[in-house]
Amino acid sequence: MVRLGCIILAVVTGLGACAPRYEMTAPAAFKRFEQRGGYRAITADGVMLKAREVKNYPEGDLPFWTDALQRHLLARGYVQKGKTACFKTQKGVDGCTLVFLLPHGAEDWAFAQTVFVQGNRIVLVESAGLFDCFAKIEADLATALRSFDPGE
Amino acid sequence: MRGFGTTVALVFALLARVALAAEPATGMVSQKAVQGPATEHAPPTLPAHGLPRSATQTDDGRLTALTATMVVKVVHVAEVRKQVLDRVKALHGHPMLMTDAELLLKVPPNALPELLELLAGAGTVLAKSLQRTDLTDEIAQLEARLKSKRDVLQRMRGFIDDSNVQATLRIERTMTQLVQELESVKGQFAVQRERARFATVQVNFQYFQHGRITYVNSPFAWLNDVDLDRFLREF
Repeated sequence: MVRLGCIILAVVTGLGACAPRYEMTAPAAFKRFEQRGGYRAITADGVMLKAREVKNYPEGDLPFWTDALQRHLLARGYVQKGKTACFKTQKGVDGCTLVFLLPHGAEDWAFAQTVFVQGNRIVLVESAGLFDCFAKIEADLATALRSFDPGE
Repeated sequence: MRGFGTTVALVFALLARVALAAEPATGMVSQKAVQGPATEHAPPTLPAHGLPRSATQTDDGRLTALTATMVVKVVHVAEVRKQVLDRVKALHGHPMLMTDAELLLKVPPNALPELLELLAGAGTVLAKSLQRTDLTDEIAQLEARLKSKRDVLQRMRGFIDDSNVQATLRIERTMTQLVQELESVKGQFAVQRERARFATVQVNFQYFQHGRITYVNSPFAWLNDVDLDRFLREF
């Protein structure tokens, strides 16, 4: 029984150690879900923010994946709002943000993707919300993304 | 009677001078204005970044008017229009016309590149044009006509004291006509100066049409998971 407990503890600890540690000073309007893994936050009017990562395979750089993402979503019927905004975070990591619009039910939604390429990982910071709600925090979010740390 | 004849002769001589001054490119026009090739409606010279440095005055000191037109396809016209109007206000410009799909704006020439950049970033630019019109000659001619008419008017005032009633009435009639001409020239002068002082930007907005979201399979597996529905489901 003790052995089983140790195994469970080791697995849980191990998983915790493997979970990506993203850090970001989110705009004040966002409240973070502290007890859930990764990075998730939400505003009172429902704009959601989440960070996740996928494998960088086949290995590509930031321009490659930004281009592929843009082409794919445009082909699906998403409409890009403005141009792709590329920037450097405070820690010197390059990132690019693409904001798309799409109909969702009877409403207009905004769906933003910020891409960071870190070696064999592609870190995505995704946010979505009703267009009008998203528009209110868009500038603050762009500023906050400069504080994003995609972790090791 | 002899005095009257002399006065009338003088008045006609002065009027003839005014008429001469009204001719284009008179000797009174500054040399600066007549030097160099005529560049009326000449294409603007664009610096490396693709936009004119200043619409008011070029390197050689010529006064010009800049007119830019743009057709931009945007997602939310109302939002972009508000952004543009806020920026125009911040740049010390002003709108001349505002409709649902069109804006006619006046901005200081040095603010034009910034405004065009904002518009280009707001959506997809379907068409754009930039026209520079040289106003140097026209403004110089108007300036000369204005000065000449003012001089004549000033001199005519002096004649009134030495004239009899009939001559005075005739001089006054001539002066009235001269004042009307002076005001007209002043008006034209103000219009041309204003054209050189502000660049004009005409923007036409077109709406992006929302299409249906369809499933497209990407050869890159993770891209197939970038989707609003999935995002909402997994959040």
